[in-house]
Amino acid sequence: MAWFLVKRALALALTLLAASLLVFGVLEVLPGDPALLILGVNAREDTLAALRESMGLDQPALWRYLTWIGDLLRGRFADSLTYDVPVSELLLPRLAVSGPLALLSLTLAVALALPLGVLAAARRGRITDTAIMGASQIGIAVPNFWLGILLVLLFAVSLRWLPAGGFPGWDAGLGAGLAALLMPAVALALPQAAILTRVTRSAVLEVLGEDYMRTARAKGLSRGEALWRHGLRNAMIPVVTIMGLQFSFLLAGTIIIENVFNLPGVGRLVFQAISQRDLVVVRDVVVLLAATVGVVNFLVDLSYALLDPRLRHGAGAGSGRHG
Amino acid sequence: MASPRRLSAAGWIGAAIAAVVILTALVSLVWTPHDPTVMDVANKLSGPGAAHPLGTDHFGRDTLSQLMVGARVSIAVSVVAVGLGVGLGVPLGLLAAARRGWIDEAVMRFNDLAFAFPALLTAVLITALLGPGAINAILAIGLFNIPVFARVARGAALPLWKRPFIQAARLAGRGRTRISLDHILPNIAGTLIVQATIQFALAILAEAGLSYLGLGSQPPEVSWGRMLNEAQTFLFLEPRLAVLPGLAIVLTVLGLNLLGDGLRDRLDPRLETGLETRREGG
Amino acid sequence: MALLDIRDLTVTRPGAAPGAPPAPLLDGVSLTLDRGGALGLVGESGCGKSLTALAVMALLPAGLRAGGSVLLDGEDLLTASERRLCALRGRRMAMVFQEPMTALNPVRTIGDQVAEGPRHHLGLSRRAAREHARAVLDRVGLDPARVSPDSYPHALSGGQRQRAVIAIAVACGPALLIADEPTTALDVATQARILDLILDLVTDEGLALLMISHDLGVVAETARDMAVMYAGRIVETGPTARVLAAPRHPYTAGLMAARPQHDRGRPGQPLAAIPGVVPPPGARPPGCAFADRCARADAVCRTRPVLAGEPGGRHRAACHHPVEPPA
Repeated sequence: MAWFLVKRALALALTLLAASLLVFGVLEVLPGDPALLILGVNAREDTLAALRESMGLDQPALWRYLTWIGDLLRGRFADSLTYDVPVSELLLPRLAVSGPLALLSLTLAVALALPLGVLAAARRGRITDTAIMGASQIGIAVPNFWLGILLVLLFAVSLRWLPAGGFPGWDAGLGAGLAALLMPAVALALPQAAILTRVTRSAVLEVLGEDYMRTARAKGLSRGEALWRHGLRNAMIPVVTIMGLQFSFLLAGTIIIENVFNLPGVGRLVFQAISQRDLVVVRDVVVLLAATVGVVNFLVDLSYALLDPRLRHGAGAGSGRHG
Repeated sequence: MASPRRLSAAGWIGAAIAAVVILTALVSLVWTPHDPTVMDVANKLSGPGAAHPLGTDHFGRDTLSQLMVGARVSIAVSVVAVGLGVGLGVPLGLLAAARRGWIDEAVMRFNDLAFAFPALLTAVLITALLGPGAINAILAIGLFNIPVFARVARGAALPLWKRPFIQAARLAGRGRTRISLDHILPNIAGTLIVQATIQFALAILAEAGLSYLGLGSQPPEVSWGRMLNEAQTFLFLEPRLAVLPGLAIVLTVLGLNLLGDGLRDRLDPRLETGLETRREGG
Repeated sequence: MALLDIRDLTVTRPGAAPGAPPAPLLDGVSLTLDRGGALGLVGESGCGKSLTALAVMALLPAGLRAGGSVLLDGEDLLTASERRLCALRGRRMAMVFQEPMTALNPVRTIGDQVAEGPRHHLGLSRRAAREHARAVLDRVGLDPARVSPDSYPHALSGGQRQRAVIAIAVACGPALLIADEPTTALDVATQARILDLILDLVTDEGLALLMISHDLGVVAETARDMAVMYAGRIVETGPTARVLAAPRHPYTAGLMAARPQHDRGRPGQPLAAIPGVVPPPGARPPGCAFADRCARADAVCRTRPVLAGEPGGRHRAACHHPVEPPA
């Protein structure tokens, strides 16, 4: 168990190191002169020089990278080029929007997909299964931003139940905040739920064919009891893997959905920073997002150990981990 | 029970939808009802009618013509992007499976890294660097496809290396590269075709997303994502403009996914449904 | 009344194409097993031994249909409700499976898996079921002091796992124990110990045993009566000692000739093999299914169905030209 943890933690650290090097390389080394990239080719030479000075571009790249990472690790963020405040100050209020949004949609997706996937597997080949699989096939094909637009058409334009976009802030009350996040969360969640439903179904089907399910039935457990007590935990292993992968899609999805619904979140911050060529913000936020994805996948690895005693006791048996 | 040699009914439906979309895209090269970029302000936001079967947008451009040209853009971007993924990813995967050892490890770690960056984030980074445009969208989507194909090719090739006919070729003194090309590649082609179909569908979605954000193809170029972007401004006035391009996307992606699932049943019995990562070991 | 009375059991798989006739996997299988008795069922793999066991447990794979009747204490299991079957499985009839590696749930402790049946059937509290499980595990040779009931299956050896599987089966004191090749997956030394354990349990608890095996030796050791199966049919039944001493069906005789023997033949001499292969379901001839592989077969064998004798007690073979006992 300890060894497994250490290995996964090392892998996480390596991934983060590589990710930060990549971001730094792409944004600050590849372009040659980041100042020129930020200000554009028509910038005046003295403005360029001033920017180079303030970004410390006269320093060697390696030194700049180490300073950047060192500062990040100590929680010190550089100043945004457009807003003149530390990136952390821009980030925190936006995290308060994007975080709940991602969590809400992940919860929705899981709450929808797990029962439907299990149901489809239990009713394999029957009309329920066909209907659920058909719906999920359509769900996968629907772009989340278009779903967002349709939801706005229905609930904001026609029915007038929910706001079409914007965020009142959590100061306006939990209800108002959640109301503003509901449609974006649903738009993000449904396509992911469609994928997760299919994964759950096939994982459960695989488990249903296992010998220990027959042992459970031979004990006198009904089909449902056997599935609930013996099948689900085993079926969860591949499902959790996909959930981990999906989290990164959800984060990316927030970029687009926050634009559909005009939400002041992290995704919108990145998007705006790019159009304003605010490389400092882009750099920090992208690394932060990659770190979040890395940490989530680390947690997924930990959950394997909870689900599978073979890993917990370091039996080294092949786990459900892909790749 | 459908026989494994034949495409299922759903597979045929998918193939038909994909064929219609591709045909539409091809037709748009030589003929569209109207020039999709010509504005006709007098007829702006007009509903479906004889002159404009699907109506016009806020500049009076013909919606049907735009949808047809949009199909072309979507398909072109996706084909090139997936081609990029296949062209670079498959050799990487074959190499990793053939050599194992540190090369395999390096390829797989590169994979993990690429998966830590969602496609959209990669695209965002690339546009930050190079500016928006169809080419950059292709690059972004293509980059994300490389690790996917590397992983699939490696996963399918690995068990083959243990098979007797490969062992025989090894004993006969053939090099690993030759074996990869002559024996491994033909045997994993089915799996790759299936994956390509699925990735094609994902690329259409990604391209639409990027264009919707304004990071993909730029005006006056027409694309489904851009149409949605512009339609959102007129959502209250003319919902039709927001519904139609979305339907086109859904239909295309649905068709490709159905086709992919059908091909999978026929070509690659190991996988059950689309879009899930294969488990190794276990 | 016999404890288990299988009458004319037929299991069919629906035809592959619509309209095609269903292929019979089991064809008119009749067996009886008395309370406390032991019946061995032998045959090559694929002959329908395991299918018979699963049909008794009413756990046939999806899509297969059973006909005839399977009476447990006079109650027909083929027409019983699923609810009733759940009450019987594990309580009145239990089964030990071939693969101890996969028959246990990898993510639950063995104590947990043994306690589940008693909780379910005997209405024991969580704690009482736990205690009960410890006692049962001890009974099957997994002393809780040495092998913790809190172990997961992966931490156990093959033999220990099979003991755990047996513990699950006998936890609620069933009247009938079906053992489907319980030693096939184990090494020779372990095989003997597991067989001893099963025999002990059968004697001590008065269980009726249906021992399924491809190994005549296993059946000889464990079962008073035996039945030989071929291509979904019973071809010979009788007291084990008599069947083995003087097999009457040419197939049984062939099976015995194919056994490695220590007292007969020279080392290095090839074992006798039965020529040909078992006809697949759906392609079985109208006459005797063994005719194509049988040296004694004639035109009658190929066309006229053989009548399987009534089961029970007497030594019978379903054969037109049975092997004569040596004078």
